Amino acid sequence: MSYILRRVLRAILLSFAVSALCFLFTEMAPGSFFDEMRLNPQISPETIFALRSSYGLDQPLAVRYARWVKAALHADLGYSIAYNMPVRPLLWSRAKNTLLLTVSALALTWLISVPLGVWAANRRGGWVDKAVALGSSFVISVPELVIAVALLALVVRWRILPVGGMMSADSDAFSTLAKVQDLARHLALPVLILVLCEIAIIVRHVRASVLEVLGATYVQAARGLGVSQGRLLFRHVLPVAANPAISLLGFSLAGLLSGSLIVEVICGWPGLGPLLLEATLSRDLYLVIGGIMFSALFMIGGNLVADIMLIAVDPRIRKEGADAR
Amino acid sequence: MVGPRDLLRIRDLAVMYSAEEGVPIRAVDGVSLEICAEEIVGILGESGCGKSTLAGALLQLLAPRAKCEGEILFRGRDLLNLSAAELRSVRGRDIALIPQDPALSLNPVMTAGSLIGEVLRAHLPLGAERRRERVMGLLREVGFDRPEEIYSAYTHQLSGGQRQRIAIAQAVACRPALLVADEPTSKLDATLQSEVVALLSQIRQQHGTTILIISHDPALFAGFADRIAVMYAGRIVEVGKSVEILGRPLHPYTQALMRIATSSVATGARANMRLPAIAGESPNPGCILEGCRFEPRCPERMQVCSQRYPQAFLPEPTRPVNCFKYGG
Amino acid sequence: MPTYSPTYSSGGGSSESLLRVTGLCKRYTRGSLWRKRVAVAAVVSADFGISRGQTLALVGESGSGKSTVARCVARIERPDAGQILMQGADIAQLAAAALLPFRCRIQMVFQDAVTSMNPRFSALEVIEEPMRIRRETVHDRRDRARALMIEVGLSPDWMHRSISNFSGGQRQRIALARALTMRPQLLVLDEALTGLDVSTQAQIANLLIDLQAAHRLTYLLISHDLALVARLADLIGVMAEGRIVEAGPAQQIVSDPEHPATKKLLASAKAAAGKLTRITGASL
Repeated sequence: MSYILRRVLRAILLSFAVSALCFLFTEMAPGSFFDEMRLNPQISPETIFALRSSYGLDQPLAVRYARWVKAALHADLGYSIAYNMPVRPLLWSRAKNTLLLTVSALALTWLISVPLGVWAANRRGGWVDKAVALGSSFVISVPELVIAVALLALVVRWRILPVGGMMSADSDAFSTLAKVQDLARHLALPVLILVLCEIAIIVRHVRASVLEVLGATYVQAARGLGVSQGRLLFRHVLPVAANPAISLLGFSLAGLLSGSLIVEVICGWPGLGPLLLEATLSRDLYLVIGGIMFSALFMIGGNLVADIMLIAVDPRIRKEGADAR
Repeated sequence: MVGPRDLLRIRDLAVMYSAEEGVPIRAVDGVSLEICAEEIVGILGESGCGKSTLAGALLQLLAPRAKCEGEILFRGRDLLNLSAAELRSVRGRDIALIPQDPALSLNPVMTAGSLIGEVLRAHLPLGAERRRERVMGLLREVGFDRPEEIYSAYTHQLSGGQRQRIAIAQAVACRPALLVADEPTSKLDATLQSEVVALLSQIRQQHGTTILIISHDPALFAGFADRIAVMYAGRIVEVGKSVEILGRPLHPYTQALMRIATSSVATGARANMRLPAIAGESPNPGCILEGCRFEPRCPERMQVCSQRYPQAFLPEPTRPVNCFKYGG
Repeated sequence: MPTYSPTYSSGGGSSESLLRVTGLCKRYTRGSLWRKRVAVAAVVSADFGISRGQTLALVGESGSGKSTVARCVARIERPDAGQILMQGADIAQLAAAALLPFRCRIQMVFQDAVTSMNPRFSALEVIEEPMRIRRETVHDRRDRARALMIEVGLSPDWMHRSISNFSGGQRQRIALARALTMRPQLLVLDEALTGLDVSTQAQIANLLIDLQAAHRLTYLLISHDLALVARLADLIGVMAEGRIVEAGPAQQIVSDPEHPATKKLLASAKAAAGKLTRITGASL
């Protein structure tokens, strides 16, 4: 229990640190939202000054930070200058779309990677193993951007899937089932890109982990007592091999909100990615900070969940935590 | 000698590992041995002599690149020619192996109870409740006073002696006809040696289990094993009744081993007095010698010893010895 | 419980005290997630001394604290309390830098040579490692390693063979050679003979006796095997539950034990030997 509490405390402190750094860096970045306006001779400096102070942008950094933290603790993340609406609902509506994308991709990735990795490790040197090795090497060495664009080009060429957006233009007229189908078809391309890139990494880790445990003395001993290969794999090997895999899962969870930025922009999926890109380019301060905090919180939370899962699965971690001086 | 109650007959067993250049390494080189039902047979030899490889060969638990030749007849069936499914049903049910190091041979994320339960699950169609009862019974049998505590304990929470008992419980779970114990006490404190021996004796008594026990320590066999086979560099060099081998060894190697084993301070040796060690090292399995393999270290070596390998001579009717001292 | 301090000098000659340990204490915290964290003392209190050229053995069952004492003396761990006087200087609480000159004088040999040496290193690399740290020249290192290998009974032709190709006994010889590189005065042997074959154990034991005579080494020998230890040690200290419960000259401990822990250790040693002698009758 104390192990978990310590982790939670660490997570909270980390969140504060990230928010402070956010503020600092956006302050240090050149330019502000109103720079373009300033170039326009028709708008007087007084107007700009009034606008700035109405958004609180004329206050010193520390004061701004303090007010932001106070507001954030009440779940108020500020106001977006560009969209002229509060940040939080704006972020949340986009974040939902991103989560839909990334959760689907995550589930599919792990559902495919784990059995594939176990199969490759179990029949080491077999054709599955070789195919996995070759395929993953290829995918890892090609940048995600290139894979995304390549798949996009293929899809457009062959018109197999719609591109851009979440729903078709006339989707309101569809029945529920048709709406779901429509959504799935729009989702297919970005999920495919994400899954392809992730599997290449995860399957190699799973395979390596399983291979290592398969060679352990206790697995040999269990085999010597007549335990079947299948049972060995899933009851004796996987729980031990799960340890490093769970850390990976933590990373995957952590990247749920931030890992899909490129893919969203390229496929036109209306998620956090395109929103944040726009906000950063136009120096929409609170939107940027809000977006980063959202992602950061997810990342920290994901790792926390992974830590808790580790304790549940591996009793040795429980002991280590207790024995540490 | 073929007896009517032969449980295990090993004939000319050889285990070979292919080496990078040319000649394969013969870890076990032509071993023949008969074990009768309810016997306790010991294999005595130093590390590298092939005794653990012999144990592994029985259940085909060696590395995939190991090749076995010869015959291992268990109740008439040749263990080297079984299908994978038949082999799996033999392992743990007819023949069970107690591995060397209990710290390494128990899964670290499974409780003791589930570890023993796995063996039952693999061979017997019992429900969860019956299985649990049986595991508790086994835990009590191997000497745990409070089996409920041990049932849900993990390996790292147990002492070395307790882990060894769990390994023994796993091995006897399905009441195998043959138990193979590979160095059961070498990783444990000296004080636990007699407890393990007593436990194995009790198992033989209660269930008529045949036991093949492997060790480098002659003291382990004293008063426990019925017969002993002495192994050196992949071959058996002497076989006989336990009291004979330990009390009146005939092969120079066995004699040298017994000299070391009996020179203990408990029998009057002084401190800082050198032990009667055997000079040299046992041969590298990769280097095959023409003659007797013990010859380079033998205090009684003769001309003929480096020229031919000594066959089994019979200085006494039931004591085959591979040494030119007794013939040739 | 009274503490025993076996500073006993055997047979004539100068018996300068090399090591004097008083009140050694080392605690570890144990506890689970659900229970309070409790400090458990691995070593409650240990007092002993060894003279130059002597062998003191600490025996006890697993968990009695003997390995912890060894690690504290070799300063692999820092004791929580107590003094470790090495030729007068207290090294118990010294920081790393101040400890350096003593590192040469105290060397440790471990039980499992497989885990105390990198299996990919060659014998030469393992033995010359301490010399590298001291920046001796390649030539000097090689010559010294060669001499050491011969001394511990290994052929110098095997210098470039990798550790994984040596047998257990040979690896312990290499470990001894490595320990001797720095010409130490005290060797801490933590179960260094445990896990070896009967025949190999005899060889290594003889090697230890020879080395001790040749270099006037002092040994702190840790073991759970009273029978073996009684052959090598001048003094024996029996440990149980973190304390030295009985100590004295080896012959005395073996012939006339007092504490139940000692009696238990001796009983198992005698049982094993007794079974053999009943069978063998008169000694060979």
